[in-house]
Amino acid sequence: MRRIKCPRIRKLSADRPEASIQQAERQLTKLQQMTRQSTVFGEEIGDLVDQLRQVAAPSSEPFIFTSILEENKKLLQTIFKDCGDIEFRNFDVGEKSALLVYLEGMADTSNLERNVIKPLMSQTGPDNTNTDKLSEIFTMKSISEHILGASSVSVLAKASAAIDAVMMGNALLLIDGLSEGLGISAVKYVKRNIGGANNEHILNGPNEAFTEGLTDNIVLIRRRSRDTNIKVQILKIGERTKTSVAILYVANLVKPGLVEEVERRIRLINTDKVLASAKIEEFIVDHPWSPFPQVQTTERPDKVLAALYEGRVGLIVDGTPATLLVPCTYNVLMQSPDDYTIQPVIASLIRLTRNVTAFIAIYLPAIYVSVVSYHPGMLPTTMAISVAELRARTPFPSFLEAIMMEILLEVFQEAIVRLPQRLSGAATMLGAFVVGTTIVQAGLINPLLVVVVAITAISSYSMPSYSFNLALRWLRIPMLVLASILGLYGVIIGILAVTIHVCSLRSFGESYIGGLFDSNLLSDWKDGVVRLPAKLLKERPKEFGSKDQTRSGEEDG
Amino acid sequence: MANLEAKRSMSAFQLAIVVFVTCIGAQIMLTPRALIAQAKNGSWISVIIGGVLFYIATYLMLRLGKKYPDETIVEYAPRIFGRMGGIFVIAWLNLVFFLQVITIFYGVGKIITFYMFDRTPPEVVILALLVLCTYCALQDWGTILRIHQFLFVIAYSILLIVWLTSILNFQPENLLPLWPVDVKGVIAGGLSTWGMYGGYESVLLLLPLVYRKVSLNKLAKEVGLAFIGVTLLFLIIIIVIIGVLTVEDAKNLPFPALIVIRSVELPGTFIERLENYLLVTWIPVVFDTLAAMMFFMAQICMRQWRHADHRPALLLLVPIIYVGSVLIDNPQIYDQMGKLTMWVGLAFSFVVVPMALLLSWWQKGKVGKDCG
Repeated sequence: MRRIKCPRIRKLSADRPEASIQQAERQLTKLQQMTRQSTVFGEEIGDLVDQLRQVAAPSSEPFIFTSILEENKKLLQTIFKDCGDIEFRNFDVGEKSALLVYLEGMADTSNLERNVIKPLMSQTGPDNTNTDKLSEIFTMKSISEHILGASSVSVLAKASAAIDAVMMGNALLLIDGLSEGLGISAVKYVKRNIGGANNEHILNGPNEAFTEGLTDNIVLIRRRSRDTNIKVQILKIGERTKTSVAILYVANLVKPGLVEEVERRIRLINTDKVLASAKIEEFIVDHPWSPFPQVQTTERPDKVLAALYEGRVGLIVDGTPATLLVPCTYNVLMQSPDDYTIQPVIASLIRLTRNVTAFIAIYLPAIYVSVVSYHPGMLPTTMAISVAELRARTPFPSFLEAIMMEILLEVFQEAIVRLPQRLSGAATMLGAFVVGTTIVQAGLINPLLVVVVAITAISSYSMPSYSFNLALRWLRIPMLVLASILGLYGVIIGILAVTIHVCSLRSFGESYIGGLFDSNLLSDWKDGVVRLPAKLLKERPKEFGSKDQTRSGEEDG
Repeated sequence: MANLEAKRSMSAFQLAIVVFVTCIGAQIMLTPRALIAQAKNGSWISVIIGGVLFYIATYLMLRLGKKYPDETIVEYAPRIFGRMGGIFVIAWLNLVFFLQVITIFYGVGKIITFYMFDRTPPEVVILALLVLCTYCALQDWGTILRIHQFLFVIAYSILLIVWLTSILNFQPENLLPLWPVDVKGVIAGGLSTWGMYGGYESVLLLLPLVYRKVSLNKLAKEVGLAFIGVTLLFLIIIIVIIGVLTVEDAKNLPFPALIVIRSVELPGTFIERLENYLLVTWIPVVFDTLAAMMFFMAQICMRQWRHADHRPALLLLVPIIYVGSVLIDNPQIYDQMGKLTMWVGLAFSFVVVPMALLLSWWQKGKVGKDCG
């Protein structure tokens, strides 16, 4: 019988050290430690929940105020747990205890001291003769009406409203024996002063620009017009940030249904945070995949006011100087406030030039590639020969050359935007003289193409809207591809495709092209493609469908 | 989403623009040879005869549409001709558009490859244009109307400017004799200009958008102006071709319009090889005709199948159009196809539409009598 030879049995830990008993013990200890910690965490969370559940509150409220100040304080401390910047200031109001809760740095403490604490303590002190009378009408309403010197106060019965008020920089006053709070407006925080427009320079006319503060921005609008028809509606957006968004419009001008549509779209925004107006823009536009901006962005209050008087709606987002204007059309993107401060004839010529440069900014490199690669016969003979000579010195096909130049241009533009201002000059020099000259001298790029790309770039810079400029830049690449595949035929196909796309765009239901190619809206050309003298601009643009088409005399914007 | 833009109606002028851009398509380059061969020096008279004849056909369509102001032919044809008869008429109208579309695609592919890319297969050119036209036809009518208006202003003005440079080589004596010797040929030529004017059938589908706010007389005037514009443009093209090339040369060249423009020289300017410029401005003109016709075909299918959206029908039609245009693989088939399209179109305009008008009069009269 054959004997089977078994290998010697060894301990598992000899081969696999991680399977040793010591190792297992160490892991077990760790696990026990974690279990203990999680039990402690669980207990702490349970305590917090218990504290919040001491009083039955509706599901939408974290708790409800009771008439016992200590309980209210505990509940608020639970909500503001680990918020080191929340101040709880206890003081006495007559025989009762009071509590002032505010966010340090956001609330004006001297104002609170002057208008809240001092009057409360002095008028309800033991030596005050009114104390007895006050004790009879000791309600938050009577306190706000008879004692406090603050300009804006509101009685807050709901805990969520009280918490929001504190987070906005207001102070919350709670008094023992009263089951409601008093929100006292005392917002004061460090902010930027109103300065000039950073991205929309004009030569003549006002130069004030919006800042990050919502109220300051609304003031900038109000200060320019005493019209009571300018309405401001404020909404809160963002699950966590609860950012204020103001909807501005002129009640007797705006197209019926437009404000409701704007409000509806804003209310549909479902996000945790709104830190910039661009985020709102992405949520409310009709075609988020289009490269073209469908909302006009501006940091100039005069521009916003002019838009409101055309029947449009403005959106100011707290924390952003960039204000949004809807609906947005191609025409408004091609206009600049400067057009209204120069002679109408010159302004008209400049507007026409802008339209031509917009075309050049997209199609010139593609036309160059198609003519040079497929249809050199379209060039005059002498020029065709010189282009052929130049091209013979470069190793790449014209399409590749154009793509390389485009990439280089984009890189330089990005670098100049991102660099500190002092360094951007150096980057410009580097791009213009060093790289520009060197790549031509090295025979990598045809000098004619450098000229074409430079003209294209300058053309795109002449756009009054930066986001429209970006759209033009983006479109160059697909146009180049079409030109390289199908020559001029491809370029025409591309031009028509862009035309179809632009004609299909809608901004809040209005055509993006607006009155430009609509025979029913030809009167809009008066202040669209050209600009007629102010005396002749008696009507508002029809493309926005304002209720009152007639301007009452002077030009609005 | 609340769409605030009012685009459920259009003005009479906008309808006139649509008729203008739908009528003028590829045929301004493709048809002149056959017309000149047929009508010779009297081609200009044929163009005028065609203009009058097809305006009458359009007027009959406007009258017919007026009887059913809230419906297109797809809705009222079954009531006039009965269910099967209605389906037959609607299919006929769609066939008119289909035949025009595939012959135009073939012609464009031929011309572009002949003059711009001699080594590229026409299928590539056709495919690129088909994709573009499909993208356009997938849009709503408001968008297509805007594109029509844009091209009406931009493309046609540039096309006319480029074409008028050929006046530099114009020799008036080539037009003589002005009065035709061959009257029969001129009249036959008038009928054959259907290829140039074809596309006016679109009014049968668009009238409900217009009749809500415009009267028949106003509409007839505006559409009449469109026909005057179309006729003038065709006259300029035919007269210049004969004036530059003579009848004998023009009838032996495949695309005489391009030879005319090729012969133009503008010394001291940056511009050379004008035929490329003409083709570049002609492509948008062809595009808007094709896109509109494809949209109308899809609309007919959508209404016939009682769908809410025309896009599935359009996407179904696209491969059929491509195959149809590629199947025309030589000039003989193309000529036969052109003749077939012409007779199908003529029969629709001068048999079906008048018959529909008479039947609708008869039916309405009968209803009136029955009611006492």
